Amino acid sequence: MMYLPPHKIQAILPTYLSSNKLATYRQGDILLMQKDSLPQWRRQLNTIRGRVILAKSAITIKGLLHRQPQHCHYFAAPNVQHYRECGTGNIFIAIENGPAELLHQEHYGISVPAGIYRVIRQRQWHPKTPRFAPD
Amino acid sequence: MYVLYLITLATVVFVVFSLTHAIAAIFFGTDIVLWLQFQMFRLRIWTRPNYLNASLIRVLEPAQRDYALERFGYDRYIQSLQIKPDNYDERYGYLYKFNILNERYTVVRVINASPEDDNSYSVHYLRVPNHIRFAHEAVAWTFHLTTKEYDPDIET
Repeated sequence: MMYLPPHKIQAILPTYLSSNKLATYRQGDILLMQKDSLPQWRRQLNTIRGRVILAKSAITIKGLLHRQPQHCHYFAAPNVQHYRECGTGNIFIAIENGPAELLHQEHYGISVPAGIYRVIRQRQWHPKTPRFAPD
Repeated sequence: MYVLYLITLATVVFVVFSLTHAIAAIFFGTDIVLWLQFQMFRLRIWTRPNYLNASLIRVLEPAQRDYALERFGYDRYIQSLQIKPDNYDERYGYLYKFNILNERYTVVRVINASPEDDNSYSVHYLRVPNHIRFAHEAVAWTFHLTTKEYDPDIET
């Protein structure tokens, strides 16, 4: 069996992935990627105090000592629904009726237009366990 | 007399620690010994902030090395050994590749698009797989995407 290194596999992948480009927005370690539809098998997630929280920063001893608030990427708008795809665990959001603002304490907000988006959290490689990037 | 006292004390401490580890190994297995050693290493770093340096990191065992590198910071390690970037992209940052003993490290340097309170831009180093050759490819990999797919319209 012929061995193909990953960058070669990437080179020969079909080009339809990039042919019709959909909008993508990045806020720190969170990427919103526009999709055509929600996954068939999904479960709606609850909001926390009226917020759709996409990611939270880790609780650290230093943060507790200095009484720094825990940072998070969130939508405070009521027109945002939050879903998890069954099986894969991918997170999706659906924004209805106009734009909603994606907020964070350390980043500028992004006004995201109505649509369906997949939420991708930045990761980093580790020989034993893959990890999320620090917020 | 003082030297004799020190030697005796060191011997007693050594024997007590060895016995503790041996007893722990007998009752709980060898994993607990590795865990104890790692916790002692963490305690050493915690109590002595200037303990770590680049040449020490190069001789540590893999688990301790990864932890030490994160605590010491990839930026300080790269600066102290004057490692040159393997690839540079104006938009996506720097890609560094270096070896420590027999392990290959590939690290991408990314900068926040939004400024901090003091108008500085915080820098993050993310480890990526070793087959990656370009900074753009590395940043795309961190978002589970390919180079063609990763081209965000707005970044903050």
